[in-house]
Amino acid sequence: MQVDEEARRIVHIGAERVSNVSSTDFPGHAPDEDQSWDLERFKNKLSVKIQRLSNRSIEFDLVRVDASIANALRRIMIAEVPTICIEHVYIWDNTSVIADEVLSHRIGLVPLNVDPAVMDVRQGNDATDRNTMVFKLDVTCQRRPDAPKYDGKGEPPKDSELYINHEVLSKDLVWQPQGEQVNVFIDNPPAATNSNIVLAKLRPGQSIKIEMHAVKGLGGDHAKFSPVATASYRILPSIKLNPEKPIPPHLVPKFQQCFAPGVIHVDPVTKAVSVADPRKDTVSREVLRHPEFAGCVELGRVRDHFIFNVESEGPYVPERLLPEALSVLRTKIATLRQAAELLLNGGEVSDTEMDVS
Amino acid sequence: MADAVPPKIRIMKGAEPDLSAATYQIYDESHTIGNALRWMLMKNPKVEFCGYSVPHPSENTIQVRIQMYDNLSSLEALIAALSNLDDLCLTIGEAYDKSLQEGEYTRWEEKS
Repeated sequence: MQVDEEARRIVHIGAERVSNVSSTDFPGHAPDEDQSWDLERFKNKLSVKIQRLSNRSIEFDLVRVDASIANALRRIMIAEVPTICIEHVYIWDNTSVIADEVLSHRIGLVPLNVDPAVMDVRQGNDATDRNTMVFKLDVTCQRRPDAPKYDGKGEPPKDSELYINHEVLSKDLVWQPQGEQVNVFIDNPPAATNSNIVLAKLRPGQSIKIEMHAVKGLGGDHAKFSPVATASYRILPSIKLNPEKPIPPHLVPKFQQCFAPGVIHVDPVTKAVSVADPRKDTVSREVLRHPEFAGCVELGRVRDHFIFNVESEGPYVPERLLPEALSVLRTKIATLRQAAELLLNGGEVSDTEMDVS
Repeated sequence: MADAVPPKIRIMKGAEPDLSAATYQIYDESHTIGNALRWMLMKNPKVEFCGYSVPHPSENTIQVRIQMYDNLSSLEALIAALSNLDDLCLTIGEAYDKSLQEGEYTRWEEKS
């Protein structure tokens, strides 16, 4: 049965079709098998392993969970983990060439370093220091008094040599503390996570003067609120060599070339082929195109092995994104449970007024 | 139009009086919860059938259909599935924190 279970985890990949696609981990699917939910069994089988972590991204493996769970976490990281972004822009002056609405849109997309945990969601128009963050932008472009004269020969002078403030950058957003915010954000003053985003370009005499209000929101409402640049998973490739049909030594280099670099290891002495790292493979199915390798190898993917790659773009350090997603999911579950229990204690089948004719 | 928020869960017309078979309409949820909940309900051997749908992409609801064996209550199965799903989240969180603390991973510096 152990062998059977391992074989069942593999989605088989043929030259022109995939098979064994659906998961079968449900009660009643196979006789004499208990596939019902068992927390202890899940705990023992589950494996979560962080593979790589940088200041901006994380790669981790989530093994022995169903695709629906992995997908729920992915979807929540993209669309339901809250962040703070500029939502209202009040333009006092904009004499630049970029239109008000385009400028406002660009400013909205700037990721801010404000921890969403300390902010409330703003309901309607009642702005307070708990739910709104105010920024100001006041930039005027001028000619440098010491600008070099250009006589038409050689390299023309750079904009930065000719003008002051010829580019409006995200670092020009100035935080205006409101009420208690001075104390709350004293250690980490709100600003853009990346200080060098160009928001507009100016020429002498042009200026931009605006006030901006940042609020808490969800990626589902607008992509600017998404805390991740990407949050995706792929499924671990599986490459099984057939021991009964080894690769003939003269074809070994060709065989190795059929896979991504580092996937196939060739013993330098015996020329025996082994799978070194299936994770590196792209599952291009190139081997299946060559008749000489027919029956030598079986390609597949491990159905319940998810390799997550998450890039943070905003206030969260990458390793905090999955815990945040889990806590969002748990909040959803708690809300649903409360509603379901209310329904249970509320008695019989509720009204049927929602009948749509 | 009334601005009242619809109830989070509503039992739709046509449910069995003992709730052994019922369709639940869940407001403000999507595939995120729908598919995970469907999977957890199907792990219950007393569930005869479970499926979910998003009836219309511009309506912010999902519908979950649950049919039970032995005239059991689908509502109780739903609550049990939710609580199991919560345990699952906790378990994943614990395993993740453990891996993070053990620190057996490659650390690298990425330029923005």
